[in-house]
Amino acid sequence: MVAATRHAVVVAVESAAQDPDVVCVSGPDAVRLPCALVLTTPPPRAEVGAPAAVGRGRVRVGGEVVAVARWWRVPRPVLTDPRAAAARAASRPVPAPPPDVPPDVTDAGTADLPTRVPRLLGLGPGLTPAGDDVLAGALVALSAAAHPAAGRLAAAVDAARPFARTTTVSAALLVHAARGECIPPVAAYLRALDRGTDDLEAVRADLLAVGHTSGWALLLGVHYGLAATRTDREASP
Amino acid sequence: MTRHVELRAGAYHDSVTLMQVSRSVAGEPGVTAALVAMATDLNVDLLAGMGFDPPDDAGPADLLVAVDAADDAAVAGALARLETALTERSAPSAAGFGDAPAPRTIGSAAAGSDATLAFVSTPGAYAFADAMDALESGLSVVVFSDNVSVEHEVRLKDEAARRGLLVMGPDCGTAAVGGVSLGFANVVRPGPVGLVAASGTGAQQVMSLLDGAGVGVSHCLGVGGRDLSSQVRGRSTLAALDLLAADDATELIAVISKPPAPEVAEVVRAHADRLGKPVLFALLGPGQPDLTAATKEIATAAGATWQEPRWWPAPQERTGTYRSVRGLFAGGTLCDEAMLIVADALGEVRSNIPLRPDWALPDDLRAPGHLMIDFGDDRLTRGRPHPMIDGALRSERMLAEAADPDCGVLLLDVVLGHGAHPDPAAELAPAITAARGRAAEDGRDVAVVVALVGTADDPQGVDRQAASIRDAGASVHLSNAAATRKTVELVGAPR
Amino acid sequence: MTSTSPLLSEEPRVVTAGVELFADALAAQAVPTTQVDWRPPVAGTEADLAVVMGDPRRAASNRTALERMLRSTAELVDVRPAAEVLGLQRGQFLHAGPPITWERASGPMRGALVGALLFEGLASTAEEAEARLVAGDGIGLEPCHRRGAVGPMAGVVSPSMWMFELRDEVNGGTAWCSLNEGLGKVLRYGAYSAEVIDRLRWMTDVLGPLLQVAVRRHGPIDVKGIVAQMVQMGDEGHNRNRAGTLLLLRELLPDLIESGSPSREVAEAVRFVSGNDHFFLNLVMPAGKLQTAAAAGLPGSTVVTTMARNGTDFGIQVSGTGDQWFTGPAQVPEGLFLGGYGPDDANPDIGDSAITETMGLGGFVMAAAPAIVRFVGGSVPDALRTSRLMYEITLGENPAYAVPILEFRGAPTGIDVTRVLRTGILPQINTGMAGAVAGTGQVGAGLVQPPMECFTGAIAALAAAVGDDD
Repeated sequence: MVAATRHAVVVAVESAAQDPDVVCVSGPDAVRLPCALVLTTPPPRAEVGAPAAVGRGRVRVGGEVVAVARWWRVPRPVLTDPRAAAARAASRPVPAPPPDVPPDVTDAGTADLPTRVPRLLGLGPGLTPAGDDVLAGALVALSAAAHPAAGRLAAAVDAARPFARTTTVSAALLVHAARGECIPPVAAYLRALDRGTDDLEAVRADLLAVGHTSGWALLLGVHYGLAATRTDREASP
Repeated sequence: MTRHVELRAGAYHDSVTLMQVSRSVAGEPGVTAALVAMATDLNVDLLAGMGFDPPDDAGPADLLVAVDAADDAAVAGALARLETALTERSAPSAAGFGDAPAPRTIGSAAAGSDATLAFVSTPGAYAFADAMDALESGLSVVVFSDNVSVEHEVRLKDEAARRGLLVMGPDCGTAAVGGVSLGFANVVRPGPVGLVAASGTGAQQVMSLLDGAGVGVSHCLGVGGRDLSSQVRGRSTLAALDLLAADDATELIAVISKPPAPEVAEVVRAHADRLGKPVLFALLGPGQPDLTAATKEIATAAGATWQEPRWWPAPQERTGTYRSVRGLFAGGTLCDEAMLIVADALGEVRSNIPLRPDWALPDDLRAPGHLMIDFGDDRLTRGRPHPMIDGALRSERMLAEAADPDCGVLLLDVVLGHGAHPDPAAELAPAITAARGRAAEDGRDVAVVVALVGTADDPQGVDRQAASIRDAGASVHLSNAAATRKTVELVGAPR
Repeated sequence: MTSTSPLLSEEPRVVTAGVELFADALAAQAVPTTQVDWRPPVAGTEADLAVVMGDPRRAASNRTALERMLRSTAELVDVRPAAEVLGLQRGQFLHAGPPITWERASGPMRGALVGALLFEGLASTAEEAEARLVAGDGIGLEPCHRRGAVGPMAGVVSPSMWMFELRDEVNGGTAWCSLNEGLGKVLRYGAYSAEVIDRLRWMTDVLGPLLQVAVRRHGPIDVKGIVAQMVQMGDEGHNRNRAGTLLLLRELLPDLIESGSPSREVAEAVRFVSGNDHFFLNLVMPAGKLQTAAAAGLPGSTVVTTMARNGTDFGIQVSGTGDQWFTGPAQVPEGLFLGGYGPDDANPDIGDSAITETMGLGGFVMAAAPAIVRFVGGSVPDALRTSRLMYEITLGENPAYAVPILEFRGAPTGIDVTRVLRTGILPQINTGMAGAVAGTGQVGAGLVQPPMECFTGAIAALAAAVGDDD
C-alpha cells in the first residue's frame, strides 16, 4: 500500500525486474483514474505501508477482498479532426494558474516539452504533482491526435525514470497517459474540442474543477499537445 | 387433502419473482402443489389444469394463490411462507414524511434521474408503451420483452431514429454497454471490438470466446432477432454501427446475426463500408463459418494470437458408436449452430426451431433420430422463466431422454454471466448424474457433452462451473461448435 | 452524421421496468439503477393504449398542451350578469358537470334548479317549480362548460346571477363563474328556502354591482398571482381558500370604499366576503377553466381538459377528442361529516370544482394544505403521498404554483389519460359533500376519485381518432 486518501487507497505490486503495477482502489466519489478499481462504498481503511495482495481477479487490502463485478471502460479519446480541435483550443486561452503551481510549470506551455521533462517531473505538491499533470495532458492529447510527437514525449518521460522521481501513483498515471488513457474529464474535454459541441465551456469547467492543481495542469498539457500538432503540421507538407 | 384458492386484487409481482415464490411455497411440508401467479388467462388455464376451480372475475392485475396440501395445517404453513416470501420482495414503504413513492412509469423514473438507458422486460403486450415512454424521455432502450409485433418494432425504431436514440430489441436477451451487462451477458474485459448482435446467445458465445482469447470488447449492442428482416430493414443495426463508428474505444466492429434478407444485407454492407472502421460479419447459416471460426477471424483481425477454446474431457473418455444426438438447449442461436453442424455431418435433425420446415417436431416434441430442442423458444417460455434462469424443464427432459434407447449423446448448453442462474452447475450436475444413472439401469451408456459459455470474471466463474459439470461425467467445451463436433465424433459416421 | 449520444461515452445509468432479477443484476454490477414500480395497465386497455402511444401526433400535442397551460394567465376583468355575458335567456339554466336531464338529476341538482326557478320568478312555490321542470315547459338545461363557465357543486346559473369574468391574455381566453354564496344552506348544495333566495337577491342587487364598480375602478386583478401566493399560505384552492379570499379582499378594499356606494352596503359586502372562506374558490375555478381550455382541441393530445360532476355522472373531456364527454357513475366521497350526518345522507360527487384538480391544485397539492387534511379525513403523510403520486399521472410541473413542503416543486399539471391507465392511479379530488335530499345543503367534505370508465372511454375514443387528419 503506497498511498491513501479519503476517497481511495493505492496499491502497488512491486517487481524486481520492472516498474510496479499500480491499482487505485477508489470509492464512488473519487476521480476515476485509469488504474482505478471502483467500489460502491468508501475504500477500506488502511495505513500506508500495510500489506496488500493482488491477483486471481482479486485485491486484498485493509482486511477486505475486492472482486470484479464488471470492467469499466477507461477513456482513450480519439480526435477525428485534430486541426479543428487545436484551433478551438487555441481560441480559448488557458486561465491563470491556481496558487501553489511552481513557475516552471506555469510557463511550460511555451517551452519545448520533451527537453523540459527532467525539470517538470515530480514538480509541485500533492499525489499527482502539477508538472506530471502537464506531461500527462500533453501525452493524452498527442496520442488522441495520433501524432508522432506522442512517441518522442513518451520516450523522454520514460528516460527520466518517473518511478524514481515522482510519486508512485503519478508515475503509474504517466504510463497510462502514454497509452492515451486518461480520466473522464480529460476525455470529455478532448471530445468536445474535437466536435465543437455546445457543452464545451461546461466540460472545460468540469476539467478545471479536478483536484487542487490537477485540472488546470492537465488542461495546460492538453493545450500544449494540441498546439504542437498544429506547428508540426504547418511546418511539414 | 385440502385445497385453497384465493384471488388478491391489485397485488402485482413479476413472473420470475412469483416463480421463485411458488417454488418456496411448494417446498413447504405437506404441500403437493402450489401456484402463485398473476391471474392471466394462461395461468388461470394452468390452474384448471392442476384440477382447481378457477375463481371468477380474475384479471391479470390480480394475484392468484392456489395451494393443494395434505391438511389445513399444511395450507396454513404454506400461506405463512407465502407472506414471508412476498414481504421479502416488496420494498419497504416509507412512513411519516418519508421518501417519494417509487416511480410508476419509465417517464417518471427518467424525469427524476440522469439515466442514459432504459431496460424494459414487461410482458410483451405492454412493452411497446413502456419502450415508447423511454424514447420520449430521451433514453435509448433495451427491450428484453418478446411478443412485440413487428409493426410496433418498426414504429419504435423510427421514433428512436428521429430522436438520435437506439432501440435494442425487442426480444434482446443480451447487451453490454460500457462493460455493463444488460439482460444476459458475460463479464468481459474492455477492448477494441464492438459487437452488433441480432442474436443473444450468439453474442454471448462470441464475447466469451474473445475474452478467452485475450481480446476485449468495447460494447455489445443487441438489435433484436428480426432487425435484419425485410420488414425491419436493419434499422437498429445501422444505428448501432454509427454509434460504434463514433465511439473512441471501438476499433473493430463485428455483426453477429443469422444471414439477413438479401436486400437488407446489401444496405448493411454498403453502410459498413462507409464507417471508416473495419466491419466483420459473423453470419450463422448453412455454408457459413460457425461462431467459433468467426470469432477466430475477429480475434486475429484485432491482432491476437488465436488458440483453440479450452475444453475439459469427460472423466472417462469414450469411444465407439453412440446412437442419436439429443440436443437440449437454453440458447436459440447455440441450438441453431449445433443443428447446422450435426445436419451437415449426420443429416436430418428434428427440432422445434427446425432448419427445414419438414424437420419440425410434433407438438409433443418427441421423435426418433437426431433431435434438438430450444427451451428458450417463445412457445416454451410462456408462463415460465427462461431456461437460463431455471433449468427444471430441461432436467425433466434429460431424464426422459436417458430412458429412450435411441438416445446416445446428450448435448447441452450452459450460459453464465449476469442475469443467468447463479450456479447452473449445482442444478445441472445432479441432472446429468440422474440421467446417466437412469440409462445405466437399462444397461446403456449415455454420453453427455456440454457447451459452457462463460468467462473467468463471470459471477459463476467458468472454471468452477466446468469442474463440477465435468465431475458429473460430461465433457465440457467453451466452444459450442467444438462441443457439437465432439457429439458428431461420438455418434460416428451416418448410419 | 453521427450524434454524440451519451449512451456509449458515459457510464451507464439505467431505468428498469419489469423483471426484478435484471434490476438486481445491475445492482450487483454497481450500476446506478432506478427500478420502476411497474404494474399492468388497466385491464382491457392495452390495445388502445398501444395505438395511442404509437400516435406520432401525441408527444408534440401534449407538449403544446402543457406549454399553453403553463403560460396561461388569469385576470379578473369584470363582474356582470349572466344574461349579459353568457347570453342566457329567461328559462335557460346552466348546471355543473356533463349534460343531464331532470329525470336523471340527483337531489341537490334538483333542489338548486327549483331554487333557481324561484329566484328568477318562474315559479312561486317549490311544487310549481318542480312541475315546470318535470314538464320541461320553457326550461333549457345545459352544462356550464359548454359556455366557457364553471359552477361549484350544483353549479346552477340563471340569467340574473352575476358572474366573475376572467381573461387569459396570453392564450386569448375568457371564462366565467358565479359569485360564491357562502357555506351552510345555499343553492349550490341544493337548498332553496327563503333565506337562500333572499341571499341570492341581495347578491344580485347589491354585491354584484358593488364588485363591478370596484373591479372596474381597480383594473384587472391578477388572480394567477393570488393563487400562487395562496398555495404558499396553506390553501389548496379547492377546499381551503382562506388566504386567497383575504388576499382578494385586500386588493379590492380601497376601491370598494371609494366606490361611492353607501358605507352600510360596503360594510355588508366586506363582512359577507370575509366571512366566507370559500369566496375565492369561484375565482380559482375560472382561472382553472382558462388554463385547461387553453390546452383543448389539440389532435392526438391525451391531456384531460375537464373533470366535472353533475351529482349523477362524473365526466371528463380530453384535448384530442374536443367536446366529447366520457362519463361514469359519480362516486360518494369518503371523508368526515358535519353534525349528525353520515355516509347515507351524502349525494354522489357533484360540481365543476374538480377543475381545480384538472389545473393541478386541490387534491393535487394537498401537501400544501396540511391544516385541512383532517377535514377531508386524511393525515399529513397521506397528503404528501397523494400529491407526490399525482406527479405519476401528469405531464409536467407548474412553477407558478410551487409547493413549499415539496421543496417548492411545481404543482403536478396536465393529467395524461395514458398515464392514468398505465399506472392505474386515479386523480385525487378534495371535495365538499352535498346532502342527497334536495334542500339539505352541505353534509361533509372528503376525498373522491373519478370512475375508471371515464378514462377507458377516453382511450378508446383517442385510439379511434388515430390516423384522422384533423
